[in-house]
Amino acid sequence: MKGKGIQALATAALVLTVLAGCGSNNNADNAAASNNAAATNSANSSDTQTGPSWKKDTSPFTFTQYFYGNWASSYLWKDQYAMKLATEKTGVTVDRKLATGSDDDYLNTMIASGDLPDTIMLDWNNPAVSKLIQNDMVYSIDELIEKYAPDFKDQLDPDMVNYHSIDGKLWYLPNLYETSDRLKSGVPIVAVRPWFIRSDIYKAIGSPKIETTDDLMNALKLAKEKFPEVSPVGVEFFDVAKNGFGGSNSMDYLIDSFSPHLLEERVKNDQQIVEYPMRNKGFIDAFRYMSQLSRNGLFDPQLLIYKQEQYEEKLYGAQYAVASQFMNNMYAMYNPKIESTVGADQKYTILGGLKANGQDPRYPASRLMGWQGFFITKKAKDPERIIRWAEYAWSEEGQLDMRYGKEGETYDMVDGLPKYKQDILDLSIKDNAAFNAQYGFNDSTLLFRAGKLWDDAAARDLKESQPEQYEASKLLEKYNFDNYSLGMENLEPDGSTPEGTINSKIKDLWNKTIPKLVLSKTDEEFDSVYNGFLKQMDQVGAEKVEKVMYQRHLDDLKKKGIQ
Amino acid sequence: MNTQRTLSKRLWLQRYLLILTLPAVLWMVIFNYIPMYGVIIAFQEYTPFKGFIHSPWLGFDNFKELFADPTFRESLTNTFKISIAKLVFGFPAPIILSLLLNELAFKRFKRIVQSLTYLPYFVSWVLVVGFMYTLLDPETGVVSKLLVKLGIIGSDVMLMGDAHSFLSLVVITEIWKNVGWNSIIYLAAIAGIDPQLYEAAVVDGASRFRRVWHITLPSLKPTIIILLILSIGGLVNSNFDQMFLMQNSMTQDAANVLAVYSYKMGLVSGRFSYGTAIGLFQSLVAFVLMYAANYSSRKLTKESLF
Repeated sequence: MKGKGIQALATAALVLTVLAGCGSNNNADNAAASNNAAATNSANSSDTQTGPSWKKDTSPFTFTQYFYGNWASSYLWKDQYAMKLATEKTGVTVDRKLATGSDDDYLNTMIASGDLPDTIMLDWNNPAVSKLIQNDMVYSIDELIEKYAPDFKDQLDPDMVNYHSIDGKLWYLPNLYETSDRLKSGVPIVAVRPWFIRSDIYKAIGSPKIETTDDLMNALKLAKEKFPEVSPVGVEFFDVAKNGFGGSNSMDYLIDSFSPHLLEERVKNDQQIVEYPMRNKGFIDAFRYMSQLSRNGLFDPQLLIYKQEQYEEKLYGAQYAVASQFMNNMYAMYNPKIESTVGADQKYTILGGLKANGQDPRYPASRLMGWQGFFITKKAKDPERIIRWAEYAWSEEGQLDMRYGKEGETYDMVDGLPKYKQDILDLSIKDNAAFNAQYGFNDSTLLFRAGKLWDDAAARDLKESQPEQYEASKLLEKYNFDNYSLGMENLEPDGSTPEGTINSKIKDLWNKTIPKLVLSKTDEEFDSVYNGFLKQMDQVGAEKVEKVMYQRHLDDLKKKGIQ
Repeated sequence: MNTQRTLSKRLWLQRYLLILTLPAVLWMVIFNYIPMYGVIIAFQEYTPFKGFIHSPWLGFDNFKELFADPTFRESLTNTFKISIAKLVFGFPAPIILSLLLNELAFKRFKRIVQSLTYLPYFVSWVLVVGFMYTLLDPETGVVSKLLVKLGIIGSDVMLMGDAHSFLSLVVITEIWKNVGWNSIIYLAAIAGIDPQLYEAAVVDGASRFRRVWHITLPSLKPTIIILLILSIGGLVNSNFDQMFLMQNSMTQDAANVLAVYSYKMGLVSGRFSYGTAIGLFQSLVAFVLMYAANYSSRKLTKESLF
């Protein structure tokens, strides 16, 4: 049995190394080195040219970027018009990369190994942001601006800088930070994932008014009678870790009907806590409603375990009487596809806001506090060029280049607002994929900044070229209220803190409680599952998290200058 | 002096074999031994910026937390439950299949069956689980409907979302996928049995069943034991792909095995040290189990890996 020796050794080695670490080089040294390099660079380039800093050096230069969002293949820099335009002007090419699998896996592996790209585009409220900052893996944007692009500072909205600074420094440039103007200009804000009904089914059941949650239930019952082969309700996938406490993005539509004052009710100033929404009666009633749908055979329980792709595949086939989907996707992707494959009569039309218990719904809508942050990592080979490039992207010129291209070539100014040439506008509606592949507008620098010019232009374009979507958005917009001053942004504790661990346990618990609630056969069963959940949640320490959320709520108010 | 000379002489004699083994050994060293120093982060509060050497040491704190963590205990129980079920039902399956195949007189048919049974091995778990969702859909799934017609399940049972059916589904799909592939090694061993033994048995008037019992199975014994020892070592390594893909909010408790938990803690939540501690624990248990199985086998049957 001597020959088996190596085999045994091999086996032992294999089992011993299930989770051995990934190679890491000593980051501290590298960062220090690149710091020095950067300093030398700046000393050399002590030129006194005027004008924006990015014009000082337009030699070819490429930096790498990881974009958090594996769906964003249209953001990759190929030969699109907008990308070429940016490169032509600044000499800079962005080598943008996406995760091949799960984004969180990819990002955390990157952080653990210290193997970072030059820049990162990452949601500003992602738990990994504090890791990047605390581990000293990213440059402070202020410092880079001060050193290399002093004029850039004046371009930044002081409110934005104030809101997004951490420990007195700005660590990333947030895109889509909107000003209060946004509530008055731009395309109507759709604050929930809307629900739609299939036109032919709606007609066949006699086009009843659907204004309350009970109306909806009755309409679904009728639909099931007349169209037994169609699944009555379709909602997006459930995953609390990804979609928040509603479980599925589609749930907000119901939650905001059953609990129109949810955000206000969660804040308990007397106890100094911000409650978990699961303690709110209205919030739970939305799930009770789902359970009633399920008991009436109106909800396919498979949806509780479906992946988004499985749901979308069925939606493309118009296999639901009532379905929920992101507004623009429904009008720009699903309806056109349904029209060309199964027939125009089966397209979906919007449902208005639903009253529950006699109350109007309220949709918390606010200007966005930002979408993603643009981080420059300490691994960046040339932070100087990158910050200067950001100055370009942030400028009026850069914004127009990214959004509209070259005046006279791809757009004209009409009544003081930019407007695509007609053929480009047509292409963007008829074949969005081809439009993206050819022009790449809104895909290049991604440093979207607030501005009335393009907000107004976007609103005009939506109204003119997609009247149906515009009307649908208007229909829902009237239930919006500005939740900015409630201070409920970014409440959940940092993942690396003890409270963060408790929070993720609670999310895990809630994630498996949702299907049990929805599939409960009686109200008694529903209540006992729910009470069991509350008990477990308290056992793992929900109150500690609720205290932290209250502190974060106060911080949010403070940063917004409200308290 | 004398031993040294014989050793070098032996090495020289085996030089070609050694050269052939070299790439595999290098592969092991690079991908399995060198990264092993990373397990030290299980004893640290690892922060990537400080690296392996400078991260603060915690001693056994991560392990203390581990043993107090109810989810960890649940995942440990699940791991053993699933692995033992796989061992009990999955281990004999390829042996039986290879015996059956070997008794087939019609050689062409045998070859076809053999190919068909090992094809699923090459289908990735992603696809297999995709098939399962489709085939087991309570409304449209063919297999679900068949099971309802046969009265095995109720008409509203959603198999993929049923924590009670989870274990059976895991074991059945695992066997379906791997039985053909695993039987190859047994078929090879059977092919190596001296035909004279069978001829002698026929002369002595042994029935088919007797021949299998007294000749084939005893000749397979060393192979069976080696593979059994390896399987026991693998008891704590339930199949990550399968578990990860088959779990959803309704089966997450049943599917939470060590590998999935380690992944969730280490990569999804970014608790690198804690995730590594789970992985290290898993490896240690695997090592102990395999060593124990090997030891008892050596004592009991004189067959062993090392």
